[in-house]
Amino acid sequence: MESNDQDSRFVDELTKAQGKMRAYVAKLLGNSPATDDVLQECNKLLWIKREDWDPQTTFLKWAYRVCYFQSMAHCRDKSREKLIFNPELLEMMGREKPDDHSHSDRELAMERCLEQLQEESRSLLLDRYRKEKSVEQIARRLGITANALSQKLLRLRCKLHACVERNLRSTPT
Amino acid sequence: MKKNEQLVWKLIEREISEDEFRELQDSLTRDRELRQYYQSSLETHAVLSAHFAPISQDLRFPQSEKEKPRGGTPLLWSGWAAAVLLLLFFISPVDRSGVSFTSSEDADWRGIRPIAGEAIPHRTLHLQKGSITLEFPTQTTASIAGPAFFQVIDGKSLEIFAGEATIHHRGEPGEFTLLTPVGELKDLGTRFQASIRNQANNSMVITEVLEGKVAFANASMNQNKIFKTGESITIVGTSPHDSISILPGISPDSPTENQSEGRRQIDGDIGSEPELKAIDLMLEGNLKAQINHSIIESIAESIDEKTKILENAELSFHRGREIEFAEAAMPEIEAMAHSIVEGCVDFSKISLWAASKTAEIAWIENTNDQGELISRIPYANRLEEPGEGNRLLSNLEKIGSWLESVHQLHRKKGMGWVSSFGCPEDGKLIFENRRQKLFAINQAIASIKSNLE
Repeated sequence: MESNDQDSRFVDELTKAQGKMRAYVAKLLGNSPATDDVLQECNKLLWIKREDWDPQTTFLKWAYRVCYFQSMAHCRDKSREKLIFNPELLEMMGREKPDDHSHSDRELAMERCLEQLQEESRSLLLDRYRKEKSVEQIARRLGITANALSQKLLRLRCKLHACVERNLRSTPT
Repeated sequence: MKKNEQLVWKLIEREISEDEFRELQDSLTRDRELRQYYQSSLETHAVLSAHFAPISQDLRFPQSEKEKPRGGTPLLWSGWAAAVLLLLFFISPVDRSGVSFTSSEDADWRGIRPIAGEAIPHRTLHLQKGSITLEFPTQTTASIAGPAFFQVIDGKSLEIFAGEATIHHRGEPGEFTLLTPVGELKDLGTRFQASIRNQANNSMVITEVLEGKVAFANASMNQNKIFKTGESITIVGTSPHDSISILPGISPDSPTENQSEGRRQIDGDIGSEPELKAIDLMLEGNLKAQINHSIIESIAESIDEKTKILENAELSFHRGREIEFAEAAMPEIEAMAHSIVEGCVDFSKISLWAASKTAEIAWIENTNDQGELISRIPYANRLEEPGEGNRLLSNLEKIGSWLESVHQLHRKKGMGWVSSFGCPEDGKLIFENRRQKLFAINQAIASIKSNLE
């Protein structure tokens, strides 16, 4: 196979794996704002080491390993920060790979669940996620406290997540 | 909602307090199901974020069938390897920069397929074949040839992760920037080419200034490097922040003439081509390893100097004398062995590649359609059998063999041989000490040979 084709295949695999890799890194870093930076480091490292990847093997398995070590290195560097998991838990979670459902499965399930939400709830999510408004800004607009809004969003996410999980369970992987 | 689940979501939203975090950490350690919940919640959160992310200006909340399917998840097409900036991906607008995709020729896209005449998405794009032209508001034309991975960052900068680009800048000097894996190239006017390649351990940018000047900047450099018309250089590094090597390159236009031009050193001195060692490429970007290796090189050089004196002495030593060379040079051999074993250096920590030559420089040569050489890229080619290199390993072996000769001689001549008073007890002690030194040298040699790190 030509080097360009190999690179192309590698990029396809890496691109497909982004969602899974990000979720894996986010899990180990407690969804820290550094997640994207660490993911970027993982991507760089995977690209540098791309010739080590055997296309006959599962790309994600290899990618998770790289992500694990990069995340561990990050946690070691930031061990003095407050919201960093202890090494035992990191190792435990590092071994447990994310579920087999792809992001597109989850997104389809999400769309089905979003359709079931009331317009008000959907607007709330849209404000929070798409328009990137702060909880304070949205709360001010709605005339409620930030704390009350946080609780509302929390319940909404939980509800949505439960719905997504139900939908995924009814869909074979 | 259970308390732990609530804490999971608080963590995901980074609204968790320290006490709550500790509580959640304990629960996660004990409860496998909670860990699964945490993991799946994160995945839901990622999909939710991607779902509502401002992907394009016309994205609306999915209410009608027409808007629903988007060919899978947009997240899946977000990135290419070397510099996937997901954060940028989530927040980057499509066309705020005024960059236009003006033309394309036989363009074969993978993933996102921009259309000539329309706005160019600010995402990592993969042009497998063909070529395209982008116009920037800075009066800059960028022509990119596939295979290439690139991203329009804003109205005045373009990032190329891999591939070839020709930049023609007619605007204000320094207004346009080409970002590469090893640093930034600023067009001071008016035309330059850049070819970006990624190898196993580093990235290379081969650039040629066709007309005018180009400034190269990397965070590890004190000041920008300016390249002028006709200059062709290869920049090797691992990131825009780490140290880089600037090597002479070869001009694409006239390879014969420029082979000698390519040998010109960057500072403008005409001289011989600086020796490029495979080890320099292997250690590129790793400052600690570079410093460590330079110390080892100095030690190797010093030992080599001393060993060569003894080697020359051995060569000029006339056989047939009453004594053997090992006996004649015994004080020097023993002193050398002593400094190896009991000096300040622990030789057993040195790796094989640092003590010998395990790779040599080879070149990837790129030619154009006419078969003319347009660029050369150095890489480290691993040797089947290590060569002498800095002779550190071979000199240790040599010192070991000399010491072994002295030791055999001692055995042959009896224990009292080395004692000033012919006392066997003194000689026995010296014999034992030497045996230990010999053992330590052989151990160090074995350790170096097995240290393939």
